[in-house]
Amino acid sequence: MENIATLPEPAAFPETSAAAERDRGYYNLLSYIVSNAIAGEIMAIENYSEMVQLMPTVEEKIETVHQAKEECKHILLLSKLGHRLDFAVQKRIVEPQWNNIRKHFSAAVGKGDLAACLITQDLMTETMAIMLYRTLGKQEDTDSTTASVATNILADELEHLGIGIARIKKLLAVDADAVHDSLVWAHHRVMPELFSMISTSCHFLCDELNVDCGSLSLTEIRNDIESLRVEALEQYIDTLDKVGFDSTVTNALIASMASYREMDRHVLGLSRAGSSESVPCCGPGSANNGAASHC
Amino acid sequence: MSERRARGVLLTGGSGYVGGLIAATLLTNEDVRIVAPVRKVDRDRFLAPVAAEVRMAGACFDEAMAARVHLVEFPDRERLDELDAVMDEHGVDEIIHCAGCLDYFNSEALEQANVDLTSRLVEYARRRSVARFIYLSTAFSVGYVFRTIPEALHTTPGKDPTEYTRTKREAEAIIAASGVPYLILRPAIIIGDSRDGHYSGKQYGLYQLWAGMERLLCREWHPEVHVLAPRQPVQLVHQDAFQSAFLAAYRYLPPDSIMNLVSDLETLPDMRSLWDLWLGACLRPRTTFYYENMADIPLRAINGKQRALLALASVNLQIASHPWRFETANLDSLRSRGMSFADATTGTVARCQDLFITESKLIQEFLAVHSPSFAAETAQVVIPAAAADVARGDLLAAAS
Repeated sequence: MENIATLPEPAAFPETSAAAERDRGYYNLLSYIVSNAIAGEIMAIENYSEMVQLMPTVEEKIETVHQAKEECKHILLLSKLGHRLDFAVQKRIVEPQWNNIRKHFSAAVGKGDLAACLITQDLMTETMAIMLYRTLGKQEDTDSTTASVATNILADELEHLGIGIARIKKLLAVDADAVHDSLVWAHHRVMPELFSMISTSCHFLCDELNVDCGSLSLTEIRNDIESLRVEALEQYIDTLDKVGFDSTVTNALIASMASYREMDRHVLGLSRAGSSESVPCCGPGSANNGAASHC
Repeated sequence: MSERRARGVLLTGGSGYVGGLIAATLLTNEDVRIVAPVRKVDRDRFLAPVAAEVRMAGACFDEAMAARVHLVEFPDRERLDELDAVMDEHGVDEIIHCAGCLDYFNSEALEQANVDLTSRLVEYARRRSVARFIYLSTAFSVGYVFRTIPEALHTTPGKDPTEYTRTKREAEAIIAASGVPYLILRPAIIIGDSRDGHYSGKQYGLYQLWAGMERLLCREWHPEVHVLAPRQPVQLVHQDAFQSAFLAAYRYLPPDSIMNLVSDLETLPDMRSLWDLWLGACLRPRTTFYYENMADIPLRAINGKQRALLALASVNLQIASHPWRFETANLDSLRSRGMSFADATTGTVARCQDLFITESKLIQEFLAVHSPSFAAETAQVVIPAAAADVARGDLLAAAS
């Protein structure tokens, strides 16, 4: 059996002059993104481990354990990346959204709802992970070391997504109504949490990393929050379509995302009228407070 | 002789868009003092949009006017009696209830804000024997019906587009049964000012669609666009028309009135005109496919961003696509008394859209880069309702 602690050094760490040329702002941004990614991987390990009991066959139990192990490997790779490029990495869950998703996942396990578990972990969380690693994997926007690690992890996450889609398709064929109910249940709980994390403002993570929240800018990787959100939305819809969910159900779910605080154009500063609104960061009352209702 | 004292009005939801419009209307036109319970007392934040609307109306927002607004912390729903002191102090004898929840998908919040809070507030009004309870409902509170919607309580509602319409309907019924004299106003989708297009609300209704197009379609040029665009008038009402109608109804309608606050069906643009307006200004594709039904759109075959837009706006698009027909006896009678009411037309909506486009940095950047790609002429393909898959496939193939 493979020993995770002695995983071979991936061919992912060539010396790179490009990385050396990047300024501190870039590494602070990586520190923030990678630490949050590690938190997502920790959550994934816990989710997969907890889900094993619901898997119907021994083969699927083994496959799920294997998925959890791959998430362990990702943590090691990301930690080494931080060490290699000399930026701080937090190896525990800091942002509360991950714990909230864990709580919902455990509730799904508690009620024996395998479909909700698969949808939460394999579809929703993996979809966001794919978007993240795809972004970091663009060497022209990041650096060769980071891009190489992200590309390695992306391959695993795509595989996990594929496994999830296949599993959910099987469940759909047996009881489509129940699986759609699980989708609705998971969507309203998990997606607001995930979407609220597509942000450079946080609850506590920057404080933990000793990084100035206000200084983080996605322009360091030639990106912006709005583009990431659009990409995440498209990726999510594409995933739902690939599974073959009923579009009357998925359309209503997507429509509900219009009320997320993160989808408000004023918050995003798309309009002149809203561009002066300041977005507080770190601590209670910060920008990331989940899906705000428009009451 | 003592100075005449302006009467007091309790206004809930005053820090929201519609509540702000009402506050500006009352301050400009009526000798009232407004007591506004708010979740967080922030006088500057509350007054800024109200003052802007007052000035837009050509009036002066001075210190004397500002002094007619009294903010107070909104007590817990269970403890509305805590408002007694301020109600007494300001001689409040009317309640205008605009506070509510608009989040279509948050059932719990909708129930709490639209039904429970209204129920408690109208009971509070009854205990205090207020002269009138004015409620801001929605034109769509009846749900999907295929008949003229009367200016009366909905006894045989249709299927609700969302929980929002159900909770607003329930609130109407609670108010009507309370024994407190009431006025229920049911505005359609409120959009910017008919004269200059200004709008300070959130991205609801048409603005949600425009914001969606801004962020999803204004990234790359789309040679083909697929839209849900039945030939149904879209029930829009300009904010200045809303303000006029509110004021006239406030002054002249008898107790226990319900008013459908909608534009004239004959002047309203339909969905296709609204799409054409946007596409003409911001995209000019080579081909536009117009569908009568969402179910007819090949969602999995079209561009991902267009698919996302249609999904994000699906609920509002479907509400807008329904053939709504309203009784307008109260509005007609107010018009006959001289009320000015700017019905929404394609031209006035274009004014709002123009301002939205002008103020959007993202759209301006997009236009600067992509407008040279715009098609000189757009072919229009109409996919009739319930078209067979084969026919639709043929049309798509032919067009491409």
